[in-house]
Amino acid sequence: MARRDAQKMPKSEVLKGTLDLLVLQTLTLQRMHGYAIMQHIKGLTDDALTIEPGSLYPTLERLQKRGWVTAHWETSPTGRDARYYDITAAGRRQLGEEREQFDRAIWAIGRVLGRV
Amino acid sequence: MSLLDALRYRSQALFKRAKFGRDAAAELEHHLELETIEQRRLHGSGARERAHRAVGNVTFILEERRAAAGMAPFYTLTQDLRYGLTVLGRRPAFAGATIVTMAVGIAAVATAFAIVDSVFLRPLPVPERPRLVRIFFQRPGGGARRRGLDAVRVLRSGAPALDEIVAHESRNVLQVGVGDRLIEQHGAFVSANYWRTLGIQPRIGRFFTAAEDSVLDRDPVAVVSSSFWDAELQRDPHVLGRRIRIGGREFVIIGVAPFGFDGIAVGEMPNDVWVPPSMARVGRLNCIGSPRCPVGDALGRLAPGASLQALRTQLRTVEPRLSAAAFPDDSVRHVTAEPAAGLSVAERADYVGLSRLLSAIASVILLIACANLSGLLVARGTARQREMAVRISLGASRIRLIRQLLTESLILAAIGGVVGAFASLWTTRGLMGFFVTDDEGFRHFFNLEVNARIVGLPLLVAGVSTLLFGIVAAFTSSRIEPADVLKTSRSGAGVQGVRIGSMLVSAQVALAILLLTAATLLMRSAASLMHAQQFNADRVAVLRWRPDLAGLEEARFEPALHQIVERLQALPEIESVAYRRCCNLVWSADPHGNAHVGLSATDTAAIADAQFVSPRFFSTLKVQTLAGREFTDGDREGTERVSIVNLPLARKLWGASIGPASIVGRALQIGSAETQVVGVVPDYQPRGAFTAAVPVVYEPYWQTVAGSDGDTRFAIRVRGDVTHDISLLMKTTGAVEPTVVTTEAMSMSSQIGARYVQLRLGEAVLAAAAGIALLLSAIAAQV
Repeated sequence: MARRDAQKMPKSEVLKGTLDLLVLQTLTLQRMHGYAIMQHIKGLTDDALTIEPGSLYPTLERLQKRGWVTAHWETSPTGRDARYYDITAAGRRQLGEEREQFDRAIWAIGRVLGRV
Repeated sequence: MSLLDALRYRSQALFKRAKFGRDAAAELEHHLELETIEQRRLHGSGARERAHRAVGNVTFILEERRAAAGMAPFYTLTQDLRYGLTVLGRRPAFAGATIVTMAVGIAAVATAFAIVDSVFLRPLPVPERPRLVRIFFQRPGGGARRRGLDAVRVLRSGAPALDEIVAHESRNVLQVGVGDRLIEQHGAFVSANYWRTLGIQPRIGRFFTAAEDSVLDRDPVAVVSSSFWDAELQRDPHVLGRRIRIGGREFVIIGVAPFGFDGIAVGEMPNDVWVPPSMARVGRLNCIGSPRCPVGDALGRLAPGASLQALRTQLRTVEPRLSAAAFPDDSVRHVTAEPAAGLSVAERADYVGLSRLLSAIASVILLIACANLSGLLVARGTARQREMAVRISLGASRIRLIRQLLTESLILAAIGGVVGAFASLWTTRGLMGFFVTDDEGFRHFFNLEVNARIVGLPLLVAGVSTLLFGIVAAFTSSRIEPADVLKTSRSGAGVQGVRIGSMLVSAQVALAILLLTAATLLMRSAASLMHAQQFNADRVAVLRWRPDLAGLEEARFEPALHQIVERLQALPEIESVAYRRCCNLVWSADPHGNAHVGLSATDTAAIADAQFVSPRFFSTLKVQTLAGREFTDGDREGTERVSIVNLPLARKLWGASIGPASIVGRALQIGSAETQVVGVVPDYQPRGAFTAAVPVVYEPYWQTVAGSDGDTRFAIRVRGDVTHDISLLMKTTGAVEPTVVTTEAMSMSSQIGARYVQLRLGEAVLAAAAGIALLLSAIAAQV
């Protein structure tokens, strides 16, 4: 049931303002290429959050521009050249700040909904 | 990521746009491959198509990515430029006409500006240019008055805003002897700090020291220009220590000035020799060393941090001391300082008229070009209304269309601007070429090097025209209702455009006719000046013989002059020889006159120009005497003083109704001398239609020799070709007195041409402008 509800949820609403947070958090696990980031988030949320390439790649570009991730080409285990992304120290600091903001927002929403 | 990394990212995004595109596409391709594998695992067949659907619009993703990287404006600009060039390529007539129109307008404005810049604004071409100032006594009419070395000494103690003050006399004709050759060169007498103040270093050797400028006539040391070293000394590697003669005295060359340095008298003759002021007597500046000698200009250098305003305030406090040092009376003259830019203050007056004429013509051409441009853009807008309507219907935003149209205008402006800028360099040099040689054959130098202002102005004009016309046209073209335009027939939509276009063409033709009329009037005026004068300049050679530069005494130059005339007259090529003391053969030295004349010793209120002319002077120039005779060999010192008057002087003295014949035999007082009028000549001096006639009194060359320095100008009428005979004439005069230089050799026709250079130039510019205007009108009518 929970999974079906999550799927019905408009994805853009869920992701609004949190895509940076999700991508940065994912990259703290290990360096990944774009497809792997997308698959990781999709798998972890049982397909509740599906990030479109049209959102993912511009986001990665923006994060690079801000110095929160770096990118470089490498040969993947499948033998193909892939572009891998790494979180930087500045990215980690940013992630910390964004997590705090997110937690505060969730707490505030919970209070409004009477769940906290 | 450090700041350095962020900068690297941005610069890579900016400059490696192609690599960015390739990387982004490769990454998406990799994504697509992995998605295909996933789809194959989930669904088997049709995996590639499913993967494509899952990934979405690749072009859109790439554009979004470019936008995220901050590259979108560059990308769309590239797209717009590419499309703009394609569109313009499809309409070569429109593109060509617009570029020509813009180039002509820009070149006209840039040329006028370049000349105004060169004459009034351009700093001296030396390293210390920003701090250099000219200091001079202001004349009531706005001109400058230089008042010598004493005033410079006062400035040294009374103007702390200056850290250097240079005394220089940069306009001197010197007779220079190299080996057995004599040449006339322009030299400058400059204080020892001249070089340091300007910030220049010698090419070879050294400049002179303050000690070498401390005792009158003691240190004959000279610095020569690079061009003198090249042309006259054949780049002699042992030039230092070599001896040259200046004004009859031996000088030692101690240095060569840097390449291209012509001195600081821009607009005047380039300096080839620099000598300390203590040696100025070799240039006949004999008052050097005596009080209030009015020789020498002052050039100052502002101390670091000092302002021109502070200097002007200080000058006001020392004004009385400066006046006392410079002028013999006790009145106080106004002293001022201004940045050392453009031509010297004295020279500028000659170019004010030209600058105004050029500015006026440039404005008219610009006006025509603007009308043309508006017409072309209106025509383009009308022709492309359907295209715009279709693009709007397909979803293009108005902003996108405006940006596209502006990019097209920008391309045209950029090409027009570059073509116009190049054309203006050529026209500027061409126009200033009119002034490179004066009516005495002297070369003048102008600072015409390309600077940021000269390049920037055409581009600015191009930019402003784009803004003015491009934006309006873009807004008009994009502000259409697609449905209306698509429904309306083409011809219907174009009627208004055609009407505006024909109005603009009519305006252009009217302006072109105006220019053409002005050009015709000026040409007629010039033609009457050149050909309808009352003397005949054909087959007349002019020469100047300068015993004064060689310091030749009167006792020596008088027999030498007689001998020259005899030898010249003995040549079969020569028809007749005449000469005049000092000044130009057919013009007055001073338009206001220099002699007091009248009917008696107690009545000499009238002012006339006194000219000392030889026997056969008027017959050589083919000036018809209206009454009486001209001077003969018998009019010598010790005989009865005689004079000849021109008609304007005769009318001034004896009334407008008097006949020339009745004047002959009358007494005429010239200063303190009583003379008898023996002849009357017409007013043959060439002058413009609006210039008043100059009253002239002529006296015999040999009747009052005292006071003459021997400087003589010859008019020699030859039987054949003047240019062919000039070297023979120079050889003949040079053989008589080898220590005296003969200069300014040319045909009288070229001298007159050079004298009226502004008129000839105005005529040429107006004719060219009228031609351009007609061409532009023709373009507008055709496109």
